[in-house]
Amino acid sequence: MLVDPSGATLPTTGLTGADVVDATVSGTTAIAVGSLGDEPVAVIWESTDGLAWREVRRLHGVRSAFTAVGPGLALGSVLAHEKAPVTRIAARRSAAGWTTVPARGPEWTDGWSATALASTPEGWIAAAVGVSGTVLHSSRDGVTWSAHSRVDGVAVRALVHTPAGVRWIGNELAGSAPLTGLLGSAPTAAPVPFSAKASGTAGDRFGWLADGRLVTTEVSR
Amino acid sequence: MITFSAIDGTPVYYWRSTRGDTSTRNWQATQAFYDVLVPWIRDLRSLSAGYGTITYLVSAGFYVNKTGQHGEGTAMDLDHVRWSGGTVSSPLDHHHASTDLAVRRRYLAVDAVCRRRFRYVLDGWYNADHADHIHSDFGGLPVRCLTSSEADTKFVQSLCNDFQSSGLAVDGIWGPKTTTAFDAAKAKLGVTGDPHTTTAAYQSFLSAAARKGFANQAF
Repeated sequence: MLVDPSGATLPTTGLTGADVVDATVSGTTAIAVGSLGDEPVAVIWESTDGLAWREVRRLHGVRSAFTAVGPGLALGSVLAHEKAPVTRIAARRSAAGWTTVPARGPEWTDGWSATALASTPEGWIAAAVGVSGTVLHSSRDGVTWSAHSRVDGVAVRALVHTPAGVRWIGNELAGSAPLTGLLGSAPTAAPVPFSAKASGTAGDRFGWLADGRLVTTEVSR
Repeated sequence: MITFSAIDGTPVYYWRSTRGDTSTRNWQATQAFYDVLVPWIRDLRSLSAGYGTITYLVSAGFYVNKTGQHGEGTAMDLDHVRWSGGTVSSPLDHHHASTDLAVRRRYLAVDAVCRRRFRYVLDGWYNADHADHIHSDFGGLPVRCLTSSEADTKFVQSLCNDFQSSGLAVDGIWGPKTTTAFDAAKAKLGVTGDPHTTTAAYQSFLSAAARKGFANQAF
C-alpha cells in the first residue's frame, strides 16, 4: 500500500511478497529496498508514480536483504542461517542501473543492521544499529567510508541533511521512547505520541508509525 | 506490542548507559513473545534453584527499531542474571570466555535455558557481535538442534568441550567429531530421542545440561 500525504491508502503493483524496509525519492524516481522470500534475497525496486513498481536488482543466490536506501545508494547485509547480519552489501545506481560495490571502512559494523542513509553535500551518511546504539559513517563515493559520529542508546531510523546539520529520528533502545536530534547534539523527545516508531523520511518530513497510524513531523523540529 | 518492566515479577534493568542502574525500564515486545518469556524465566528459576531466587535480569533490548526479530518485538538481548544468593552470570562481562570453568559452565547453563524456548540463540561463541550478550528470538521455531545452524553447532561444541573435555574446534561446522561428542553427551545425560528432529528430546537435553552447568558438574 502507498499512503499519500492526505492519509489515503492506495494499492500498489509489483511488490507482491516484498518485505519493503526503506524507500526514498531520487529525482523523479521512487526507490524501495528490502527482500523477497522466507530465505530472503535482497531486492531493489523502482517506480515513477509510487504505485507501479518494478524490480531492478536482485542478489540471486545470496541470503541477504537491503535495509537502507538513499539517492543512488542502497545498503544491506548478507545474512546468516539465523538471519543475523554477516557482511555489509552496497549497491550504487549509475546510468547502467544498479551494481554492487564494496563498502570499505565500516567492516567492524558488518554484524549490525544498516538502518538509515541520506545524501549530504559531501556524499552520503549512513547509520548502523548495534547492541548499544547507532554508529554513523560518511562517504564521498559510497565505497570508502569513515567513522563520523555515534548516537548511544538510540536506534536511529532516518537521517536528513539540513542547513543546521544532519537531523535524525529514532527510538531509545531501553524503553523505545521516540527521540530526535542533530548529530553532535543531545537527543530530545520527538513531538509525536510516545508509542510512535520512527520509520523514515519523505521530502521535508519525518515519518512515524503510531498505533497503526502514519504521523509526520517537520524535519526542522 | 505490550510494555513491561518485569518478567513474571522479576525486574529487568538496563546497564548499557550506567552499570548497576536499577531504575525501572519500560520494555516493549509482542504479547506472544512476552508469553514465552514467562515460561523461560520459570525454567531458569527452576533449573537454578540452588542459587536462590532470581533477583533481577539486565537486558540490552527487546523491541529495537531495526530490521529483523528485534524490530518485530520478538527478541531479547540478555546481559546479566543475578540470583539472591549473590551468584551472577554475566554475558555483558564475556563470561563465555572466562578462565574459570565454573563461570563458563554457568553461562552455558543460562544459554541452554534460552534454547529451550527460543529457536535462534546467538551467544559469545557465535561471533564478536554477541560477545557481550545472549540474543534469543522467535525465528525458525520450533525448537530443535540443527546441524546446519552455526549457532547451534558452536553451542554444542562449546558445551561438549566444557563439560566433557571433547577438545572440539568451535568452528560451527557439524562433522563426525561433533556427532560423536554430542552422542556421548546425550548418553551421559540419559537423553533419549533425536534432538535434531524432536523438540521434546532437545528440551530434555538442554534441561539436563543446564542442571549440570548450574551445579558445575561435568557430564
